[in-house]
Amino acid sequence: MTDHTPPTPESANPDTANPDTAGTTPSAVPEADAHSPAHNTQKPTGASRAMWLVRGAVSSALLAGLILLLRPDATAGDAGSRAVFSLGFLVLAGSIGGQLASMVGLPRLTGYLAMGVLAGPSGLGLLGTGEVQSLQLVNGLALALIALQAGAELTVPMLKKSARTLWWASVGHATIIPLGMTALFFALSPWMSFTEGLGWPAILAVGGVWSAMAVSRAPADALAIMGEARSKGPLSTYTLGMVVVLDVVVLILFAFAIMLASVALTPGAHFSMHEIVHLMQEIGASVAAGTTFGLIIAFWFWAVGREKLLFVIVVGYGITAFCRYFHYDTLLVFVVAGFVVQNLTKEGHDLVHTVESVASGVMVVFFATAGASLDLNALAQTWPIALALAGGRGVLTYAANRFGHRMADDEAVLKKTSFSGLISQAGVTIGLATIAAEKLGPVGAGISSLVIAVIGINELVGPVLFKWGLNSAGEVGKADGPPAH
Amino acid sequence: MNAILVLLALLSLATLVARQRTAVVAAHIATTPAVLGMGFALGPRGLGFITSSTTDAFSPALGVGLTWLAFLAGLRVARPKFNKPYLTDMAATIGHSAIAMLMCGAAALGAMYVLADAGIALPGVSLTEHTVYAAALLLGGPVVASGFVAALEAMAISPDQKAYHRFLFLARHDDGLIAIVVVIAGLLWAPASWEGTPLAFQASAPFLVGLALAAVFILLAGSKTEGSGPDTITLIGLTTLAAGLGSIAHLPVVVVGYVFGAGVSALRRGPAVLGHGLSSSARPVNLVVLTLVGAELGFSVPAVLLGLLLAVVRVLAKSLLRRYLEPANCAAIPLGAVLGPSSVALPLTVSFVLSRGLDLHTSSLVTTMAVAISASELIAFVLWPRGEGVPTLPSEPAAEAAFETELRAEESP
Repeated sequence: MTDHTPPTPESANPDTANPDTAGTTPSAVPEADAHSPAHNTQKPTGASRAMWLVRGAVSSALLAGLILLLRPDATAGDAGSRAVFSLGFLVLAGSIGGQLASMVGLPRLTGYLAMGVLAGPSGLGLLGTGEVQSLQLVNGLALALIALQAGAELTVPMLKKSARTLWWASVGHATIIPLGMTALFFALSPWMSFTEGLGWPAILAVGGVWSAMAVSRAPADALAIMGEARSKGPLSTYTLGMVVVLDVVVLILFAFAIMLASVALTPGAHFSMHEIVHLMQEIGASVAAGTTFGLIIAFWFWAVGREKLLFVIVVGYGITAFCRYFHYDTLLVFVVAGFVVQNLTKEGHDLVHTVESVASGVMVVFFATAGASLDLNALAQTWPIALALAGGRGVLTYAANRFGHRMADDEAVLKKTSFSGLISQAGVTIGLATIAAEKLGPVGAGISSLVIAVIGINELVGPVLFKWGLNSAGEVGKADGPPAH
Repeated sequence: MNAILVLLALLSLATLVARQRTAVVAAHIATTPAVLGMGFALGPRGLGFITSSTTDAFSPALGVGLTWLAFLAGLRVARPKFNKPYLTDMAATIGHSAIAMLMCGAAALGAMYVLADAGIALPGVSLTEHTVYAAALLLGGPVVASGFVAALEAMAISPDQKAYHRFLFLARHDDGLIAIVVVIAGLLWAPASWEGTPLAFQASAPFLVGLALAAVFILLAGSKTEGSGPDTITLIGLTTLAAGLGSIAHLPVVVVGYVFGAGVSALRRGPAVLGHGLSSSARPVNLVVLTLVGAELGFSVPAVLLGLLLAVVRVLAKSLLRRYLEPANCAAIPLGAVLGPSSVALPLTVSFVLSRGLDLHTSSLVTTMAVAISASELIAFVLWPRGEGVPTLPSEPAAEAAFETELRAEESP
């Protein structure tokens, strides 16, 4: 079962006006204030922007001087000290990057990613690969919070209303994208060195693995953009539902594809339904576990009603460790838990508010780490193929959505913009690529490298596209409460 | 796996007791010795549930926690004013602290010589080198620092508001500021473990780094009018960065964090930084820090004896000062509140030891300070019993709100 590394998260809707604030512990991450520049709902004037840029430049120079003075080279200090430094640096740099991105109309997420890329091994090398890896503990928490919130945002009435749309869109994604991407992969295979010497059945099988990964999305990106934009409407609902549904669909598709590819690439291997059955059992167990944990969370909120934030953090780490030990789908468990709290209890609003109060800080680190993890060197080496595959995926995603909306007879705005929230890819896909590398040998390693390159493109383009989509659909600013940033 | 389980346990502990101060009080257990004892019992030298590799894994987190606590303590420092009330209060605070430190430092020095003559010298402290003077300063300075939390508690039962204000001013600044200056002075006598770096740089660097971080924060967050809030993400990022940089550069991170907080307090108009619930994060963070420190504590007879002696001298010093230097406070503020231990004393010692590249479990200084602080808190607990006939202590949010009101009154023209 895939253990998803955190996709890219970000969402945070610090509701400083919420009366429930008194029941939550600010802990080490109190709610951001609505008056601070990063959270002001009023658009900054040109003069205030210029002043902020000047102050930002001076403070960055001061910080740079401090770092150069106290940290003469990247290997100074022990691993723990470097990890702490990396964490603090990413929080700061991401925060500044988000503000800069916001100033030029881009999603904050893009700023966080850009700062991570700049600071990471592919950029200025301020942070090494080891240091980026050491932040996985924070990323694990980020995944938990994102998935909890995603689940809590889904309501039964919402799902009932969009069930037909989600069904047909899922059918489209599960058929059009795999078929199209397999064909595209086959067409481009002569330019892929890792497919040399493979017969056409094997190339098709490997293409199937690629196409299964192409179906995966980035729930965190979607939530992040929707949170920042305070969006509400058909596009937001559709995107949220689809990223959750596709998380399950892609697991099944990928399991089938890996099995077929293993048979095609490994002499003597044979097709077996055992792994599929095992996968379905794990999915069922994940749903059951998520339901149980959701009830536990709701019980705490109802019976104790205090230290909700700390409790959610404890639960986040605890359930993550539980899922890793039993090989459950971490993302699915948390989504189900959030869904249960929202739909089977009365604590849904509390949960959403509690998660949002800490999400902004954690997500800055998460997105910045994701940026630092992007391997732009791989992109530089394989950019023509990566661009073709990314572009093909985008077109096929559009086509799959159009198919689904046509069958469901949806409104025009969805037909035009619904693909925009489904372009980003990150942690989920990386997790799948890692499994492919493990199971398919050198071919898998080749796919993994190419996936990283394609993710780089999708991750940089996707958030911008989704923000455009939300603007086009007129859904920005329609949600209740103050802005996320 | 052990590290994850320990992390979960620490977070669970913090969750359960974050606001359970009254429960702890009702159980007649002082927090610091209880949590230190629990950490020691669970640690490698106790039951072994927390292994040595786990404590090593959490060392970076310990540094961040220490820096954050020091930052919060530094935020309480009043913005300097050159008027008579401020100068009078500050002079009284410095005088109070200096006398108490001299008494404790002299006691520590004398005790170390006596113990050495008895053949049970303090490990790591040589009488023939400067280390003994450094140890006296490093022990005498922080141990006498006042407890700010206890001062807040006294507010509820003090009928004399003037005495309360003076006492609160002392607690705000004595809980760290004076101790840090003394520790830096002690650093000048300690052997330099950072080879090739001038001692003057080692002594000044923490202050300069802290001030630089404060300047960065003010620049990024902008100058706010009263009532505005902090950019918390920036604060957390800067504090974490301070912990990382300080650790890499072998600086005592508590000093960096404290100066950072004091700098923010001094450079910002209005008390808004503290007014957004940051103070309430101190308790869970402190609990986690104390547990980790407890797990790493070593045990040596001379260190324990010295710690107990310092606790007794501390009580004597503060009692005498309260009685003879501030007789007005005698009736107004209970002795137990005056004896409340500082939140910075033990973190300061731990931070200093870590900056020297030493292990906590072999450090006599940390063991001595832990025993001294624990004994002080127990004595204060005994002398200020919670029970029938004693007014109910304020809740933490109410105490913090009252302090924020105090800050706003201080900032108003």
